Amino acid sequence: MRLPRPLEDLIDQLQKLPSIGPKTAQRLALYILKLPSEEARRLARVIIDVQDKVFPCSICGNLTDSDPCSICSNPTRSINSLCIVEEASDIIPIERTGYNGRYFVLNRGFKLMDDSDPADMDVQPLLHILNDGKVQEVILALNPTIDGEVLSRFLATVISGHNVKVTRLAYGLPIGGDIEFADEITLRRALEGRKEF
Amino acid sequence: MYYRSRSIILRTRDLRESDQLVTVFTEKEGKLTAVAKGVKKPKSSLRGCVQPFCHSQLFFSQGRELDLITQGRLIDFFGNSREDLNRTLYIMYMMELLDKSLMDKAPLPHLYLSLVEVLKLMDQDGFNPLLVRYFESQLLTHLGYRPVLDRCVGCGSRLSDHYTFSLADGGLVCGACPVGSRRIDLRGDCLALLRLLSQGALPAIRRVKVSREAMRQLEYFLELYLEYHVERKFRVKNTIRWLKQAMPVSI
Ligand SMILES: [Zn+2]
Ligand SMILES: [Zn+2]
Repeated sequence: MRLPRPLEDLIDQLQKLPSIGPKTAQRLALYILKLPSEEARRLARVIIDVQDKVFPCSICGNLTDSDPCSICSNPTRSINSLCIVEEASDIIPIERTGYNGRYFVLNRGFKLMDDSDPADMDVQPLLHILNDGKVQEVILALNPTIDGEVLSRFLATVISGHNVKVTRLAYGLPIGGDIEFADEITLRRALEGRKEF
Repeated sequence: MYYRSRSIILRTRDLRESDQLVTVFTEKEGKLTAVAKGVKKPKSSLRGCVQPFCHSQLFFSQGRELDLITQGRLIDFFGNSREDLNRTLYIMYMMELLDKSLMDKAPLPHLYLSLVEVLKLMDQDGFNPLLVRYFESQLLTHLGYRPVLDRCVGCGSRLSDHYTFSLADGGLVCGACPVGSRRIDLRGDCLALLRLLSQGALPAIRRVKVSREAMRQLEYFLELYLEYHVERKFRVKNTIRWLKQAMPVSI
């Protein structure tokens, strides 16, 4: 059986979303079809809005709908420490820790084996912040993967010309985990980063 | 259907939320790509054994499209190499070589053993570019492109003074035989090293002292030869070159 064309188009579009397979796409499309008209219109509108109104902050790269973003324009936040993350979504968990410094969002990862080159990395906005001379510590908070490691080392080199302390998040064991089941890489690094007790 | 094999992890790619696609070079089955479920969750016990260039015993279950990695046990994670940016980068280059040149599920157990040996030595002895070259030459041999270096690849005659290397024919060509357009000069120390590498004598290779120039020529030759036959460009190597320029002190 052939589905009506508009329905098929919707299924096609939904299927392009991450982690959505053909069956889920079909279910979602049928669900959308049955929505009250006002709801469906609202959904379409917010999709367009998010594209039109959300953009990276001109200072830190965080996603925002006003420039500079709410973090950069907050006078109570310390400019002494700058935390570098790969994606804006990484800010959310760090915010929950009570961190009160600023951020710099790279807005892209780096994959050694894919078509990404550190040469394409735009570090000018980062250097611009550091040139102000107010930042005293840069915290590298990239993912603990080989790609994140290589990128951290590269960024540390870029920053080294400025008179700031560069630190990296420590490796540790997850709370509630079991040492018996901890992987050896984490354990080895947790041992190296142990603290006096 | 279940099977298990010792494996070296070549690369990982994100799949759904917490799942990853893991490409591995297994001892028994050759290269294959399988799904590691829940591996990005903090409590995953599999995560530690499916990181790039880990040596792990993996348990698979056959799926309709993709096989599943059900369990794993880490054999070695080559911790010294992992802490060293230079070694990490060159090992990732070797992982990329395998990922791009091996066919799926075509077992190459001898190549597998060479790889494990190189990773072990690199971890023990520190970085040695000759080990990378040795691995490249082992890969070429197992892919069926072992260069002919002891006679003319065209007519089989002994080589006199006039010879050149033909990339297409995969060997030295004498002055009397026709050579294609893709040729490269190969002589002196570089040729001697290449002969040593293709004999596969690892203990001798570890001891040999090589001049900078011969090493550069050897690297250049193997890169051309690999790219010619595998017909792929290797990205990690370009990235290493770029990083060496951008951060000369660290690498
Ligand atoms: Zn901002
Ligand atoms: Zn000949």
